[in-house]
Amino acid sequence: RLRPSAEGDGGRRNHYRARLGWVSIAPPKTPSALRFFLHKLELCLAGPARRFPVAAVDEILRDVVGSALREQRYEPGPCREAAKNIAEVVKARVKALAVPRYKIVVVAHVGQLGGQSLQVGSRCLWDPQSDTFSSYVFKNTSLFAVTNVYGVYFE
Amino acid sequence: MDEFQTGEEASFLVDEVSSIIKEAIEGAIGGNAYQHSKVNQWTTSVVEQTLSQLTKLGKPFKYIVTCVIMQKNGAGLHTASSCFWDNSSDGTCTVRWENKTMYCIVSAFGLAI
Repeated sequence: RLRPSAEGDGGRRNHYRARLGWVSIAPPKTPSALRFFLHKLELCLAGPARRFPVAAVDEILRDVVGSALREQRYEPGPCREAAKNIAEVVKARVKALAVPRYKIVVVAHVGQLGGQSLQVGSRCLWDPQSDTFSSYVFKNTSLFAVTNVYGVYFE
Repeated sequence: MDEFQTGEEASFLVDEVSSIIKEAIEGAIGGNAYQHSKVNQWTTSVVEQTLSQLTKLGKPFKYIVTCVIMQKNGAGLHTASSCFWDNSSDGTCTVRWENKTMYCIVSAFGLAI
């Protein structure tokens, strides 16, 4: 994903490609700078040092959603707050796992069990080698909750 | 080292994404009444159409698109999201659409790479 530049066009032609993950750079001149450059290049090409911990995130979802909604009956006001709280708390706890260079998106749906039919679907444009998601569905006698956490590697 | 500027091609434009989402929803379910047998296909269609139009923008972003289609029968639904990202480059857009028989909520998240 890194490539030294040979073009003398001021980098304009490489501007678009540069923003797609290619960087145009002149090769460094000193041996120590070259060693540093090669080390960074190797790190970038290796992908994430630590993968997104799906199992730990599953556990966080079970814990946060369960404790927020286990004893809760559906009421519009409290459930609106619960959806916001679940999203914030899950994000904070996943962030606390401190997985380097991962961006996190949490989406929480809380709804009333009223006999209606509903479908939740999502699709992503990303790198399946580094990016992933975790999902949890909760139900009690009066409400349901679907929570998804997406972990996206910042290349 | 060359410097590359953060021009328009590197930012998430909410209005642009909002119109992409609205077109995808109208194209997939506009004018239709809720049918349980079709909802899976509709959700897939909305999400895929949105994602392919976002890809065509050619911006250096990874995207997450979520779609909820719910039958209208008086039951309530609440959706919330929370993100850990770079505020200067990343963004989100949510569109809420409805007709007489169903609700459709589509959220698109763009994360710069």
